[in-house]
Amino acid sequence: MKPPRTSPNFTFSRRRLKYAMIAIISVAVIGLLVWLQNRNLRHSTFFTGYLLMGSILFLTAFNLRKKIPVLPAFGSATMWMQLHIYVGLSTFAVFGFHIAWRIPNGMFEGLLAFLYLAVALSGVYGLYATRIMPRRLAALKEEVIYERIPALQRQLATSAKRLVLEACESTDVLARFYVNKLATFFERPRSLAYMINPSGRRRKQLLDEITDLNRYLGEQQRPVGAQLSEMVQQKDDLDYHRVVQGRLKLWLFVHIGMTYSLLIISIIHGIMAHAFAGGLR
Amino acid sequence: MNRPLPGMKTDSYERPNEKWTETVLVASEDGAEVTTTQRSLRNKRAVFTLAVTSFIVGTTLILFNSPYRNEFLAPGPLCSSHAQILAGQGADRCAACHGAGDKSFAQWFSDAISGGRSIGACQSDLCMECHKNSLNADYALVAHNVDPAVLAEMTAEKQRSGQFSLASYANVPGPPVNPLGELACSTCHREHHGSESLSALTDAQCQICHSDQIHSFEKDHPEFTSTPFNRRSRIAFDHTTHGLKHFAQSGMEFDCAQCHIDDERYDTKVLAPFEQSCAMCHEDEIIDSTSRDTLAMISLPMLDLDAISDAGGDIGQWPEMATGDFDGPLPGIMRLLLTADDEAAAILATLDRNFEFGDVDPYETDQVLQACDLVWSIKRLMHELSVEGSEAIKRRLEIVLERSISDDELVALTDGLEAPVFQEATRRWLPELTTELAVRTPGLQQYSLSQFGDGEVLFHYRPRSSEDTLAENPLKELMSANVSADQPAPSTPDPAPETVAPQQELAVVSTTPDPRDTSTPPAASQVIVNNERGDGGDEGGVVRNQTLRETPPVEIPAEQLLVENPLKERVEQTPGNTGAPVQVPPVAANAGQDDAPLAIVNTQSGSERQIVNQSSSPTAAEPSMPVAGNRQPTGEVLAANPLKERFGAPPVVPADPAVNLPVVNAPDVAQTVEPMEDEVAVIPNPHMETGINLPAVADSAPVSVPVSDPPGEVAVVARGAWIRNDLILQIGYRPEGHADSTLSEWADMITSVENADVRFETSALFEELTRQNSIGTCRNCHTVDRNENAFVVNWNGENHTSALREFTKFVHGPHLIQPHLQDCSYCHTLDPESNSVASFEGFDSTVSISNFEPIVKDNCASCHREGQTDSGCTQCHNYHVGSRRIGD
Repeated sequence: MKPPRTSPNFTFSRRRLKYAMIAIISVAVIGLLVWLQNRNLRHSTFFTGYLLMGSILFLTAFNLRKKIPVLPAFGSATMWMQLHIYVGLSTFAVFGFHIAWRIPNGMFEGLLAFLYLAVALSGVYGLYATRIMPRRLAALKEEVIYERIPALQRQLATSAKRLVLEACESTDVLARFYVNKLATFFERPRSLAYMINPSGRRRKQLLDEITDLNRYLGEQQRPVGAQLSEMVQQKDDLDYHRVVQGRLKLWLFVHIGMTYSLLIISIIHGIMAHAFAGGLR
Repeated sequence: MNRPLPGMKTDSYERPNEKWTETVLVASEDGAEVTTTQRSLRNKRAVFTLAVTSFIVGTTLILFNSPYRNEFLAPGPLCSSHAQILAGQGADRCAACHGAGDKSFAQWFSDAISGGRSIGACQSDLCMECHKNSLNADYALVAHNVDPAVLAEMTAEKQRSGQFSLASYANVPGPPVNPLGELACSTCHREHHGSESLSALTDAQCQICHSDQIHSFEKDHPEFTSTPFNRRSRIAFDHTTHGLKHFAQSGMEFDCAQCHIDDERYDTKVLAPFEQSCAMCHEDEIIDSTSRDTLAMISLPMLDLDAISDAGGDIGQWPEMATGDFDGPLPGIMRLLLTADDEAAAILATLDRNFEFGDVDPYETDQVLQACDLVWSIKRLMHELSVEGSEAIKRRLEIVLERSISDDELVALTDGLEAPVFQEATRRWLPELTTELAVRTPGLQQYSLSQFGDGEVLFHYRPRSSEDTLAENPLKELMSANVSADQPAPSTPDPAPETVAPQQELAVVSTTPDPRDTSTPPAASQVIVNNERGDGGDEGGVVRNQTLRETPPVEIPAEQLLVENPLKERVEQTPGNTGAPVQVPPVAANAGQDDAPLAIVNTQSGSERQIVNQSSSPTAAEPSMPVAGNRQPTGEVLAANPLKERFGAPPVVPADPAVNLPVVNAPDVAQTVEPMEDEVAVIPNPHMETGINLPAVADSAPVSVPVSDPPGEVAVVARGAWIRNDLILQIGYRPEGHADSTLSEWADMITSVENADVRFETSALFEELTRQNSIGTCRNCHTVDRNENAFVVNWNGENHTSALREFTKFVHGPHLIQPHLQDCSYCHTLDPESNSVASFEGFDSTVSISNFEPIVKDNCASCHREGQTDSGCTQCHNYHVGSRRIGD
């Protein structure tokens, strides 16, 4: 068996460069054609409109390809994914040509533009998220199934509460600390600020406070403090998982949820464009 | 994390595409684990997608069928000029511009799959619904709105001169055009972009077709060669002569602003009105001309009766004053009206347009007989005008011009000229006209005019046709009853036609039939004529029924009549006539008692004038014009006829301020009455503010003004009126001075006729009105342009505010803000060597000799250059030409 002549990374880079060049050149050619049409007083909007419509249909077909994995004749899913990315990025330029780089100010056209931008921008975010988020998750100790996170969080909160109750027979320091600091952390979801920017600031703050609490605990209770510290880290990791995995999964709600609306409204728009087109008999 | 929490799986595997997933919930009370299932994320996404799609599409469809459909569908606001279309209510607002605007979604869909050819009117047609008045409808959608053939010719000319070149459509994909070469309005005018200019066009777009790459005005634009205009000015005016000669000699300043004034928007210069610009020097000249000349409608020629007799012709009665050698003009209007008569048209078609009766060779029988036929046509015209007045003019014009004449146009042309005027003229000049025509013309139809009262009978000439039958024509029936002069004629009509009043008495007279008139049955040498006259009835100006025996209007001894009238022999042979005096029946006695026409009458010396009621004159006793029959020797008449000299060499009558009687001043000079025989009747214009206070004057009653000193010549008596001149036997119009509406209406009418300059019907009048030094001297200043096959008289100068758009535009306003440009000569440099007079002579407006040097491009480019003032194509050039300005 021959060894691969190039490394996988190099192949990926070449492919990305190739696709990017093709996309850039395509956009340039489209731009030239649009300029020529406008210069010659022809309506380039039909040209760009059909191009955009075709692109959207092609991009939508990627979902179909994913659902029919047994059709290798249409290319691999990876290739489809790459085409999906570059064609999708190219549509930004085509869309700009189509609307002549103006902000649509009609209600129907505004709705259409909103749908397109929602789908396209969510796709761009999805591209970013699928490239960045897995690396962040990989830095964590555990892999957690997104759907199980709520149960794990609930289970962790129960365990923490039970642990504190068992340790508060001799002193109520841990119990007071739990009620004042940890109960909210374990039992309630994280703040919106954390959802937007999941930082470890509160985790560090709680761990520092538990460390500071050790001086007020007896020998028997200090291991409990250590366990609480570990549980705080687990809870924070679960929260981080929830935020990051949520981002990885929820962008598809926008991207796919708007796609079919975009497709249908685009078809209506095309029909209207023909029906309302000024011209000669 | 060192150890997994209870229930936490380390395996990340989870079956894909599951709608439900198993989830472990931990009870908080006893810590017991409870397992349950819930929707998978994929399933939730699918539900979300379905919900969002349903909501958006559903809302869209609902809005499509809601009252807010227009607002929802509009792709953006319209420009300010069109904004009101969407501002209203109703679902048809989009339909104002889009054929699909009021159609359903299903129809849109069917339109889309049928290639856009199934829904309503196309948008460009809808555009024209509003803009049809501002664009040339025939060429609204073709390039530059110019006839493609004309545009091709212009292009070829420009290309030959090297001014510019056009790209070939075969090489450059130009704008989308249909097989007719039409472009949609939306090709250039892109709506729904709010306040953006709807007509903005880039230089590059102009140069799609205009392949000359003019990158900048100052570098690439060719020098001007024919500016400001490439046509002659509409008002003939030589700036060089006026500026360097006339004004200089009179010591006046030749100030441009004297004649060229700003329009209301300060956009352009327009010519000042005549009164401000030209009247100071030229008004007297025009007044002299209009006081001297008359636009003749009727003019009786002089006839050589001996020659006519020798040739075997017959003209019936003819005024003695108009006998002698053949002479006299055939005025353009009369020629035009005569050509409605088939017989006259056949003759006039063979004659030169400058034909005068002096051209008739008395020794050429054919010419003499042809002249006789023409005379009879003139008589028929006179009779028709006497009966119907302006309606006859209208009918004849419609026949000749082959178009309808509107009432307004007729009023403008005739300006108060009605039947009584001609009736009076006929009574004076051709008193036997009706009798003669009844004898000569079987087609003369007798009928009753109810508006003149019961039993009143007039004769109306009707062109003969094959359908005329004796049964239809009571006259012919009667004629056939008197088949020859030898047969006795009935003294009373039997049976009387319906149109003849029972109490009417008819005299039977005979005449010598025209030997060449094959249309007249030889046996019909006797005819019953209405021997009536109006002699003071209630209705002035109409023929009144009155028997011969009751009130003989003009009694002429039978012997005298026999000498002068060849008809007498026939009369004597008519049973029932016993040699009683024959009454000469005037055709139209207009001397009613109550509303008889007034006359402004001069005494013989012309020093006293007064408005009088003509009924005060003894109409019944007033003799008619001396009658010359065929047998009357003409030599005596000629000797006594002052017209002969006039026809030979029309004297120029100077305007005599002493007798100049402007209509507006008439009341001031009318004091005393001295009725005269030979007079000039001025027919007042009911449509004109004359200032004459003549409440008793009927609308069409003539006001008679006698001739003034010297006797026998027509003095300047009034202007802006129709005048009957009994000296030269003419009815004509004397203009009131500059901008006379009647004269200009005749000029407009004749110049609008296709090929008016060459058609035998119109060429004489066309020549009469459009030659240099024509009546009113209109043509001296107002050029006449040949337009396609017709012509147009340029009554106004270059009024750019109302003129059609041309390829080049210029707005003076912003330029004249600049101090150095306020001197007109900065751009318009007078060429002292130029003489533009020759360019005004013909009808070709493109023959242009400018008094000015071409505009120097550098003068413009000093400001209009890159980085300074805009110098794009559309800064100076219009795309739409030939269209009305719409506030650009």
